[in-house]
Amino acid sequence: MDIIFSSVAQGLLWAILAIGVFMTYRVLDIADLSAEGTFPLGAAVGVSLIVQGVPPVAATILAMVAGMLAGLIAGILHTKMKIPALLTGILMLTGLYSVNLRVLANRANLSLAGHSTLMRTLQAAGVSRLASTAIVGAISIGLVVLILTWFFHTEVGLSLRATGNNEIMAEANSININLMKVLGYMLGNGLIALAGALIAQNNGYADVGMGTGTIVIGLASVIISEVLFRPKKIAWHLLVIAIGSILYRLVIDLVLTLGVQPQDLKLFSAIVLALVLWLPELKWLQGKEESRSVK
Amino acid sequence: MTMLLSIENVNKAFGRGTIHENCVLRDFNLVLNTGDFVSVIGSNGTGKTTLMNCIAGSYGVDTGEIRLGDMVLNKQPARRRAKYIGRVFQNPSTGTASDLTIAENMAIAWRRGMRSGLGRSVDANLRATFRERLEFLGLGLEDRLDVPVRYLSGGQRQALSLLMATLRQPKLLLLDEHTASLDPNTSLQVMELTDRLVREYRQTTLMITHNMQNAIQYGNRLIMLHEGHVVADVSGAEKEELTVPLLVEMFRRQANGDLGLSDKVVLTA
Repeated sequence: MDIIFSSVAQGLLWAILAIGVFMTYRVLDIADLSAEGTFPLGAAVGVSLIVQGVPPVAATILAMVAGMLAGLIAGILHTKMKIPALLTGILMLTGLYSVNLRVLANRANLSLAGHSTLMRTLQAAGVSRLASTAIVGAISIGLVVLILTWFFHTEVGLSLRATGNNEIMAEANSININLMKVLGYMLGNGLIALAGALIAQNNGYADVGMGTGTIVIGLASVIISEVLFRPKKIAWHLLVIAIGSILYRLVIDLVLTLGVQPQDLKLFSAIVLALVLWLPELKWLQGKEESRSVK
Repeated sequence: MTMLLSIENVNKAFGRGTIHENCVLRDFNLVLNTGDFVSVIGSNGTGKTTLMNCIAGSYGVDTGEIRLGDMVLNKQPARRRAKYIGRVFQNPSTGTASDLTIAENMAIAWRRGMRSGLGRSVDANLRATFRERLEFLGLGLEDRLDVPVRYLSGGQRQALSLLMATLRQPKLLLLDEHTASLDPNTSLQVMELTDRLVREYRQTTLMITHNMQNAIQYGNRLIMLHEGHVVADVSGAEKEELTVPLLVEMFRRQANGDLGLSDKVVLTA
């Protein structure tokens, strides 16, 4: 039971990463690998600011801003310098590795031992460790879903969605598609860095290697949610990604308790994602048959 | 009559400087007056779509000048020109965003050329406006404002594209074989709708078509392109008297009887 509650609590934090990935992968229709660099960037900025005495809330927000700046650079690489999205991501995650080491003061990891975090602030008020993770996760994901739902229905938000959906149509309607792409990159990477800062606080440290596999986790959560819930409205889509993220966490925690060794976990998560990516194909075939039989 | 669009000595080649160099528009000249509804015909590869793309700004031109009113368009990117120029494409999927709803697609067309802010993209007032405009189509789309466009048929999507392209009454409407990928019956409906919209707004329109009958029946002026030039420009009484056989004869003469197979198929159809 504790394991399930722990998976749910962790899943809420990881859901923010998944929504960040959703921003580029689904809304903009760009496969952005920058996540592997911006996730540890958020963690590094958040943790090092807290260690330097910045209050956890401010440190978390600044970590998100750092992610948005990284997104701005990625967006410029892709739109202004016309570097293909995949290469843009590789450039970002390679370059950010050095940046992250710098932020961590040339160390591979930085501990938060003895410092306050968002979770520890709650624990000081008498909340259990698990509950503090769940509360921080729920509040964060709630805010992200609310703000993004509002944003996607604004004029700019709609222009952003149109750009990802049909560039030619967007341009023919005088939308600045490059600006929209840069904005999408910024929002996506800002959210991913925010997730990094929250998860580092929950773990109690930031590690320069913690980015490896984040894109796999994010994509798996997004696609699990789509296969299971087939969301149509954007607000519902954001909410079910959180559920997808929790389910993914449950699967991972389950296999760990079943005896999969932690060093094999990345291989396992890659296999899970491969299967999950395959799933819509199968579903799609079923769906086609269903609709045929209905007709 | 006032001049709206003027294209002067425009040259456009693809693969310039390579052995594959292909001059599509050669010293091209064309003037459109306000209120003109011009149909453009010509065989494949003769520069019709290139002409559209040069006007809309999808391609830059090599030399020459394109003016709209007293504005020089050459240096303006496509998205700036979109403020003045509405477009409908051949493929019904191109003109609309399939994952967005009908109302959302129209909201994007509604804000064309305006700055976007953080205001609500679709409010009750706009919905009423959109419903009213959609009623004009007579397709029942006014009751499906919140349906994603991907659930619409090709003809419905093309009708919506037309409505969106003319929603803010652009100075110029470009139709690029916008009925070519529809079945004959739907094609006819979309063509009738085009005519109604153009008349209602007195919309200056440039329409590429492969359909000789449409080219004759609609609009006040017909131009024929061949090898990057205007080779015939017919309007007024002369156009009234045009028939498909006459047009085919003109076509043959211009091409010196040297028509490609696909054109023969098109012309005899």
